[in-house]
Amino acid sequence: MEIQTSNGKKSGRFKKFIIRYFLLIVLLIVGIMFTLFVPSFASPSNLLDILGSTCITGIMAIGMTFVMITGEIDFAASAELSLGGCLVAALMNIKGMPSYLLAVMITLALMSLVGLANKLIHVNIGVPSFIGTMAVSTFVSGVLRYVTNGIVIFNMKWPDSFRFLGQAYVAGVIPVMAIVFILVVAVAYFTTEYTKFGMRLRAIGMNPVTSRHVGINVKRYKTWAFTICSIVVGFAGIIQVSQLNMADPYLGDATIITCLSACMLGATFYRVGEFNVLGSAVAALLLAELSKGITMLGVSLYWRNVVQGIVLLIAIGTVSMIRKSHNG
Amino acid sequence: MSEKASISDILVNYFLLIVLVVVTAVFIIAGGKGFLSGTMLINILRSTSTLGVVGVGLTVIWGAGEMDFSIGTECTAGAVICGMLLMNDNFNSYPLAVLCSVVLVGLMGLCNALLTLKLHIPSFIATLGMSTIVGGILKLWTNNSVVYSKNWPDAFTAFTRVSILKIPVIFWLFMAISIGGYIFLEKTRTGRYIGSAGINATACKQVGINVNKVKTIAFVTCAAIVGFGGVMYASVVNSVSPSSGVNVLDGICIVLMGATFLKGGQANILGTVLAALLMAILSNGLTFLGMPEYAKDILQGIIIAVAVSAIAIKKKGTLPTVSFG
Repeated sequence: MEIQTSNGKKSGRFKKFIIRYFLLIVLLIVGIMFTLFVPSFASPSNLLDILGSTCITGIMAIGMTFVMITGEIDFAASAELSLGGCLVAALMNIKGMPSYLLAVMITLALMSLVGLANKLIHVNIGVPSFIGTMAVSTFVSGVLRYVTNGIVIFNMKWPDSFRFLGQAYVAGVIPVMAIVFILVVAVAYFTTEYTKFGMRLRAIGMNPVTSRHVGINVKRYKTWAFTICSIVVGFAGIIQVSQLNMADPYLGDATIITCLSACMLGATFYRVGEFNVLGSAVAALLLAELSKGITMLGVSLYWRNVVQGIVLLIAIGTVSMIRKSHNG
Repeated sequence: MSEKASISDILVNYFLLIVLVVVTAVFIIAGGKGFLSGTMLINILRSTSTLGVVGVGLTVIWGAGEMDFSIGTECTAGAVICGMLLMNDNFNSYPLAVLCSVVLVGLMGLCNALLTLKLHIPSFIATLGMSTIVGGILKLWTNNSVVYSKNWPDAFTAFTRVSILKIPVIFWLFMAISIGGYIFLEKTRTGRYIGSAGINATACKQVGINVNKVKTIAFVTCAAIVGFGGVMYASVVNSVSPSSGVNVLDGICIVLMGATFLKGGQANILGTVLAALLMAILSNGLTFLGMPEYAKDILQGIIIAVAVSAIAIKKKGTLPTVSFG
């Protein structure tokens, strides 16, 4: 859904540029406005903190983006976030678990099973992903509450490595979460934009029927998308548990709305009208910036929801209107 | 068609009813007389009513081929507006408070319609945004706390307390709204237009139906019904808070389950009502048997998966989809 503009016309190209990077402009304006009210907002350590706090929502949104690029949705993402976090905590509680790294590896491997369940109900049986993943979501969160008895998992004996991902700082100022986030964005961006795999995912999202006719194995790519999504979202859960130093089976319950907001906002950025990794990352950054800025302003935290909603509607509304006027 | 195929057709179409009967039978056998006691039945009717009304609202907008992700907030808003207005000392007319709730939440539906139809934001996203904004406003208004007042008029809980023919008024209201919704969608011209717009909006435009107007009516009707559902919810719990109400995902779940009943994938009121009853029996019955909360989640997941899978296998491409882009 690229915007049609007559080539060579300067104003057209400028307009196209503005639309493409509109979200980044919003990000900057919002940042400048917060700095005017609270000068310390623009301090390097604060900006790094914001980047760090984007990590969990951002990584979750990137996982979701893989599925959304193919034109599907994964409503089980919130259950996957809780599951990832609780699994790693439960594994660490097992006596004789040799290392944290191993627990993380096993968790990620188990997470792929949820992706395969989504794949089974959508790709094999043919239930629309919107409905199928919702059934999986209810089921998974039920199982999760059964396993954890609905209570928080916490253990004083967890090693320091458990808290490394979510709480440590490199060189005293750079949160590990910020570094992890940038790494995940970089890998996901490269995968979706510069590999054959990513191009095929996009092709499927634009037109699954044509994709099948030109010989793309749609089922196989969708399977990959669902599996990658569940693993990446599970990883976000691991980070959140590491940050909180406890695992709550209700951890992910409210996250699906923020995650979807980030993906939807992201679709207005870079590849206008399409879900893309860079857009989701910038959108998650904007949401984190808003909540941090509003906290620093000292006004009631509930303004955050109001402002988030307004930004979501303005950004998407503006892009929708411009696109409509372009396409006639 | 062979006889076997027709039996499987019946199984698929009536799956929801079969599950409902089986589940009820199991509870009666396992729970004995206690399950059939008056308080139990009234509890079931109450939870069916609040969840069901929200489902009926969502069925209307789903029929129009749009999605309202803000039903959870609309329900909460209906309750909070009614409760907060009555906190005011000079304001003690309950009917007026209810009217304000329904009208204001209806306006929220109008905003959803404008965002979707005028700004061309996909309804899924537009309603998500509205839900975030209004949710924030409700938290600001109530300071994110549970609001309760002894000065509220007795009428506030009348829907739950008063019974007609031993059945609480709240259930009669639910029945009235369901029947009204059924007649509106199936028998009136506007209702038929809503259904047609949901099936093929382009064709509707070509035969001269004002699709935007029809969809706007659907958005506003949905919001107003759900807002009234919020008022009913408030009368059950006798308090209001910005974080209580009917969960949006529960609402979507019952409409989805209902869509598998008879119409093979199309959202319909009858199915929604049955699904609400099933959900209420499941959660109340499991609590009664001392089963933990997760058992309901697991069963609900399995029932939805089986019901929609059966339809997906039998009739390819008839299940509702939602556009996200």
